[in-house]
Amino acid sequence: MDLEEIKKNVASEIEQARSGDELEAIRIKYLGRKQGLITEALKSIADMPIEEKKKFGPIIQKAKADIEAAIKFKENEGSSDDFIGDITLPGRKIESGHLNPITKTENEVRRIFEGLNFSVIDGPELEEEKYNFDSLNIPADHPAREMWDTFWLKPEGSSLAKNSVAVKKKYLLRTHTSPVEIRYMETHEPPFQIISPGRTFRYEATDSTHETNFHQLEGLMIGRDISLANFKFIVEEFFRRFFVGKKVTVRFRSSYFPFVEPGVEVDIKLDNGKWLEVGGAGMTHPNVLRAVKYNPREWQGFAFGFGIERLAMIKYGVPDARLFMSGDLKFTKKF
Amino acid sequence: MKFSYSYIKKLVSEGLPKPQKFADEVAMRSFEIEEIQGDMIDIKITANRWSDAACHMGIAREAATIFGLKENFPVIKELPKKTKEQLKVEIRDLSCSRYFGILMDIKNVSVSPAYMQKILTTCGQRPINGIVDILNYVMLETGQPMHAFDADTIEGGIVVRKAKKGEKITTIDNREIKLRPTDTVIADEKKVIAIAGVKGGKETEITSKTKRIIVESACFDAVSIYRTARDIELRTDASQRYGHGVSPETARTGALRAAALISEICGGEVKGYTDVYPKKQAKRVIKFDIARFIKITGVDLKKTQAFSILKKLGFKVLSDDMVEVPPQRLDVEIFEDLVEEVIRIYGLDAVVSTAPIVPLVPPHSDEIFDYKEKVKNAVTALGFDEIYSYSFGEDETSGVELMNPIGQDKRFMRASLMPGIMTAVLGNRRVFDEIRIFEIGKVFDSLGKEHYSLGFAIRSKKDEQAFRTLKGAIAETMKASGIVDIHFVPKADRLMIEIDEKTAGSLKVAEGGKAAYAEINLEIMMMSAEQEFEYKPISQYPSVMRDISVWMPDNGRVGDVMESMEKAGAKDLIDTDLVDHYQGDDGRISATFRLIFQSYEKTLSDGEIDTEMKRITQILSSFPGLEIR
Repeated sequence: MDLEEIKKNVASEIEQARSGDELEAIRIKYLGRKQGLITEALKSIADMPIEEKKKFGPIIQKAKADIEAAIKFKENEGSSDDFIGDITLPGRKIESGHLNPITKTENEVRRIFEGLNFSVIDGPELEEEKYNFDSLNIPADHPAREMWDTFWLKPEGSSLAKNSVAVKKKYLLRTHTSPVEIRYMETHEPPFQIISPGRTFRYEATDSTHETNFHQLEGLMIGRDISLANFKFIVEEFFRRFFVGKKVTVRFRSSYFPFVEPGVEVDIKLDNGKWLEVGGAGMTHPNVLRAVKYNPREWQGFAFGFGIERLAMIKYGVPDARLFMSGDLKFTKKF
Repeated sequence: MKFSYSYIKKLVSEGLPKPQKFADEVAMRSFEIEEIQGDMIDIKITANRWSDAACHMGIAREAATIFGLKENFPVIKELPKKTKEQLKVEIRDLSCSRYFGILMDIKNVSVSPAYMQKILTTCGQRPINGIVDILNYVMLETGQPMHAFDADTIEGGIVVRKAKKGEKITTIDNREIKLRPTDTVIADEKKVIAIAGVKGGKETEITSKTKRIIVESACFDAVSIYRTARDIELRTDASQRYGHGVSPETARTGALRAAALISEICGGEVKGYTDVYPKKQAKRVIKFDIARFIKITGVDLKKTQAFSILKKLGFKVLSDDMVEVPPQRLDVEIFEDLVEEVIRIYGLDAVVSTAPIVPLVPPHSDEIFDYKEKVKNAVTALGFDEIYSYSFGEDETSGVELMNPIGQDKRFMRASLMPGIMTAVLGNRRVFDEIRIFEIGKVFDSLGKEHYSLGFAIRSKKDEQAFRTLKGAIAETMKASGIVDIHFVPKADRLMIEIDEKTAGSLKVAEGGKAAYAEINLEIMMMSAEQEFEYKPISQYPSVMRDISVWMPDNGRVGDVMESMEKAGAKDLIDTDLVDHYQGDDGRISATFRLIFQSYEKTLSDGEIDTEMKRITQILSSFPGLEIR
């Protein structure tokens, strides 16, 4: 068989090949190490005189390379007839699960604050009155306590009371995560900056903006000269990272929370929208610092608290706070 | 708290902005505004500011300071130096710090003038009669709670004392209240005539026939009144105000205003008065340090600017930068309180964002947060949706009970995530053919200890072996969460989930296999995962696969068969898996297992594997009732 004929045959055989196996058979037929036609041809020129070697060598080598390339090309093309049927059929559904937006928001908040060098601290949901109120400058029998509608634990009859240590203490479901900060301060020395996200409870009627079980984010930064201006920097930085791609403006309004002085309400404005209230903040009250045996002349700082649901509602446009805890998968699957 | 805008406007000099603008500025510097409706402005007085701002004069003072106006308060008319009669007042209980009583003759009780009625109505009060309206009006104006008795019903003088055991009173609104020895009362020689600071008695009430009255303008201890009102469940305007604290200095203003208005409107005449004020309210003097102000706020203000603000708010600036607090500002106790006064009036917009300068210490967060995130990501990757459910319910297991639950079905703290997860499955089962959900949350034990728990549920409409998907998902979750040693150990109707040979949770099958529920202690998982994971290299030698099919014994369990094969001691057996499982025509169950052999040292020969397989078949043939096919 002369080379031209071989080349012609190869081309049509490759063209007609319908599978990888057929292509492999063609490769063996022509390029196989033992009896491939091209291999044979290459072997045969070894006995030829030098002039002819010079003449045919390159031609056969080129034919070999061409065939290899043609096979490779065909392989890559994927003999299209293998795919029988309609490739426009929709993809099979492979669904991964969905995180509740509370988790998504909390994760995001943690990521941002860790980026700002804050540590993330956990604490108990079932809390002592002392940590939830007294140490936070909210004394008993003071109307300020009414700012927090509280679930109390039954002192009698509950197993908690059988625990001798617990008898004298009053327990409650924490109304904010601020007690985590008290616990942290009791065991750490400043300077530091922490946040404490977690579940909190309020004894109140549920509606589109209130739930009895909800989630909060409290933050605290204590140092020698940490100021309200420093808080503004942190809070602006946080919201700018949280609402990516939006222009965020932050403002403070005068307010009152017993554990801070001065106390402010934090509002944000996204792009040119309305002012939205996002939480309370202020400079840690000297009584709070004293309660954890810090010297208020030496240390100062700010504290703040935001609602995680509130942040999620603004970020994702969720209209009703009750949806987060509804267990309705139609809701969760949207995230 | 409702205020009349037009009345506030009257109490300051010309130039108070229109209601909306007024409200906007007050909201930034003083208090939140709940609502504006015509003349009514609902202002949310913060709990610390009732003593000065829960009245029109207080708000007018704020407004004057904010808008640079002057106070235009009514002139206080002094009482006559000498009177014909004596009013006997005795304080026997220290929770009363001042009692200003005025005995007056009146022509008639009359009705209040239209301007007064309008203000009362705007502020949510109902006009009743001349005397009562005047006293309410004075309270709205000055913040001083007032009361009046029909003097002809009173025997002897006024006594402020603790209630005696068994004493009772019928209040103006016809409630009979049993008093306790901790409650402070107003009494005459014979009987209790009012619950101090809370409510007056029916017997001494002003009626249309009243001709002589005793006006009470008193001051009581905040905590005492707060407790009484709370315990007897009688919250009144007066008890709210006293509960938040009222300055004894305000009592005088209230008394004199009331006397003047009663004289004017009801033809009243002061017959006698007594002001018992045993211990004058202490002066509070605080040093204002501008350097510290700047250090706290970051706002570079001049001392003179700060003092000018404080003066407008009624503070006196003494020598040496000492500042005297006005008596009605019970909230101002320390330097930081002055900082707030200055910065809020100056404008919080002046606080300019400044990066803090602190030592660079990397965050040292509690591990639970990252671990929860890791597990949640693993579980969602397996197709499970996350839910959040309530921390309390009707399951009594924890024994941790709420004193004031929102409902009888929400009395106990959850001991398990299962009730919440099951509720979610129920709620979703009509909508979804397959439900896969999970939750991570705190659960509580009988000692009140709490830990994070991980709960799962799966429910399929068709798949009778859906529980196997959950079992597999748990195994995969564990692997992704850093847990190496996990076993499912059958116990009664469930599988115990063991991590490092410790029970960490359990899995329960329901609905004939179409549903399954599992719960695992996340903190045990985290502790186990903390052990360093070590990579084991891939073997360079090929693995060999052998299948073996058996007829299962009646009621035999696949898990037991697999366990016996794994324990047969076959060398280089690296995996045992169930690949086929069906019921034959004769009712017997067939199971096919795939055994995978692989060595780290060499390519295993057929002969070597045959030897190992023999060990396994030997074990299987001794398995009671099992037949190798």
